[in-house]
Amino acid sequence: MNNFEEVGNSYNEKETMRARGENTIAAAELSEIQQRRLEALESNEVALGTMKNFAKKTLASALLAVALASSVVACSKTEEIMNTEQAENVLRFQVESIEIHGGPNLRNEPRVADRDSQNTLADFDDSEQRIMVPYQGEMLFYDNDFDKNGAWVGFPAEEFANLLHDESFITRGEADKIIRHEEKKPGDETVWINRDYVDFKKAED
Amino acid sequence: MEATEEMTQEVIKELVSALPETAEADFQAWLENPSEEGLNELLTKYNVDAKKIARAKVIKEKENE
Repeated sequence: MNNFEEVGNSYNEKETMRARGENTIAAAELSEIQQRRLEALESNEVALGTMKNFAKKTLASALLAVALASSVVACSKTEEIMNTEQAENVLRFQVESIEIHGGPNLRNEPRVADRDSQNTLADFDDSEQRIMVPYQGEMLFYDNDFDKNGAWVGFPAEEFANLLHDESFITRGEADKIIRHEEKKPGDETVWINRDYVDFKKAED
Repeated sequence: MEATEEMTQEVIKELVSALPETAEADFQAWLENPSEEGLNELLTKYNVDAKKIARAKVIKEKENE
C-alpha cells in the first residue's frame, strides 16, 4: 500500500471524517483516473519532488496567513464608536476586496492610543505575508483624530467572521468567538483593523 | 504549528484530486516535464486554489489541536 492509498481508504473512515466536519477528500471519493494520477505521481521521483516542494511552500505560506488572520480575530473586540460623539469621523463606502498585511501593534481597541498597552496583540514586523480577503460590501473608515490614534477600518462582525472561516483563514471557534461577542453586546458589531495594515479596493460608483 | 510530512502528503493528494478529469492530458504533459512553474500554470488553468487547499489543511490541524 502506498502513502496515498493509506489515507481515508475505507467508506467508514470517510463517514467518520464527514461527521467530524472535516473537508478532507477521502480516497473512496477518488475516481479511477485520480487514483491513477496519484500512482503515476508517486512513481515519478522528479515530479513527486517538485510537487512536494510546491506543497511545502504553499503550506508554509498558509501557516503564516492563518497566524495573521488569527491576530485580526484577536483585535476584534469592538466598541460602540457609531454611538459616540466621534461618529462624525466615520465614513462608509463599498469595497470590492481587501488585503491585510503584516505589521505590528494590531490592537483590540481603536480608541486606545498607548502602544505599550495590553491591547497590543501581535507583531508581524518581519513578515511579508499578505492575505487577500474577497470581502465585498460596506466598509467603515474611522479616523480617530480625537485621540490622535490613527485610522481604522471596520467590517460587519458576523459576515466578516464567516467569510474568514469559509476562506479557511480562521477556525470555526475563532469565527464563533466574534459572533458571540456581537451577541453579548448588541449593537457592538464591527471588526476593527488598523488601517495601516489593510489595503482596500473601492467599488466602482 | 509546523507543516508535517503527513500534511504535505494530504495537500498533494488534494491538489491532484482537485484537477478535473478533463485535465488528464495536461497533467500527463506536466509529469513528463515537471516544474513548479508548470504546476502553477496547470493549477491556475483549472481554477485549483492551492493556497486555499493548504489553508484548509492548516485550519483542520489547528482545530484538532
